[in-house]
Amino acid sequence: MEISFANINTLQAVRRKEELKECNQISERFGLFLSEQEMEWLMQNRYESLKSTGRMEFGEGIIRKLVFTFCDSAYLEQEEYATLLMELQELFYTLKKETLEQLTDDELLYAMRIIFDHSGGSLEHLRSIDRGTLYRIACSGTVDGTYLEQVRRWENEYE
Amino acid sequence: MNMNKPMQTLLSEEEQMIVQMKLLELLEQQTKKYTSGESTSIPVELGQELMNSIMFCMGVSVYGLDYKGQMDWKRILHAEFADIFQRGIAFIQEKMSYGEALWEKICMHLPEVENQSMLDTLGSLGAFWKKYDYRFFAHEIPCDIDYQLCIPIAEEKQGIVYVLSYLEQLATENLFLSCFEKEAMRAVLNRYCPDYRGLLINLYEPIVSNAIGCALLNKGFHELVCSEKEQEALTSLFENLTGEEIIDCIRNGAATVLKQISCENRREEELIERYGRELAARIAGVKDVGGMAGIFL
Repeated sequence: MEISFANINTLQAVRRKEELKECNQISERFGLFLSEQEMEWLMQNRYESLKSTGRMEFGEGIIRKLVFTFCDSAYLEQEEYATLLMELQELFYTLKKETLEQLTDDELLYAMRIIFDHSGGSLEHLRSIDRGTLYRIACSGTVDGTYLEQVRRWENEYE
Repeated sequence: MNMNKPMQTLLSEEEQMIVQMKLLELLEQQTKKYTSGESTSIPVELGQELMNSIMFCMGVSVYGLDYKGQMDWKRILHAEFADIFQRGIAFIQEKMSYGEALWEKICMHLPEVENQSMLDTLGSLGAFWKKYDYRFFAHEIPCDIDYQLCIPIAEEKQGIVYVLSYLEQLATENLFLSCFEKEAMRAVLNRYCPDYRGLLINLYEPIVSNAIGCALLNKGFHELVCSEKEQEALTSLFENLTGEEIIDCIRNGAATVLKQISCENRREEELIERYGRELAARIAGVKDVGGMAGIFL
């Protein structure tokens, strides 16, 4: 029996929407909110991201954790909130695949948040990060000792 | 989810959806266990393997060792899939104990004629009991099985079902070989394949063929090899027989063999009966084009 994304999606669809509504209750404290339309986009984006990275998702799903991990970042603003969540969601699945399942969801999200904040809210470093650096940041909880620390120094000197 | 054909033909669309959803719920539970709840997503390939394992466990739960990959979903449509799955796991655990004991028994009673691929296979099967992860990959066979049996195990069989079928047949073949003298077997095997120790050949096949030949010639098993004269006699014996008559003839020969080695083992009787049919087909194929020299060695 082969598993298809469509059936898993049917199974999860109702559950996901409820989760996203719950997310709003938390993120609203930080001035961040998803409209019904944005929730639909996020769900569609999740489906496509999973498909393009060859993954399937069950249970709670990652959107809720993504919101909880990033909603208090100083670099998130309401105007770009939904778009950024979509990109982070896509990046999460890509990095999950690239790290060969070696990092748990929480470890990966933690590392992503550190890099995101370190980059001033830019996704540039997250998109190009190598596996070794990501492991290191996930384990140490800091960019110290990685090339990102060097980048920060250069940026400071330039400024 | 693409259902296999028997399911599509047996179930209505609504019933198919019920089965799919129940299976996906089970897959979700298994995924959670597999990742220890630390990852909400997994690669599709891994999900497919977990699903294959679920199907296998449910299959052995319903059909036992007769499971060959086909499930009558209608029969279990309203049952609790998680319970069926758990019963399958318990069934596998029970069969693992039996299988390991059988494997040990085979290792303790190896045939007097040696074959490297049999030894390698048994060595690899020794690791199977530790490597076999029936909780998540029950359908897999994590070992190398190179030694060929006289009749191959059906490819549809998976996991512990395949391994047990293999071990049971190997034990039956080896038990048969233990009834003959080492030198008599060596003489036949040397004619069959001079490097019978090193090559991937089955030891049972040439021995049982010659034993049947000897029985048909009313000679004992002290010398299993057939002389040129005896081969000619066997060629004459089959020359004017129809396919059905050859089968009967081989069956009688096989019965004589079993009587002479005082066999009362049901598995041995079944195996020689199945092999006898294959032997009869080979005889029917060659009797007009070169005689029995390649069959009775």
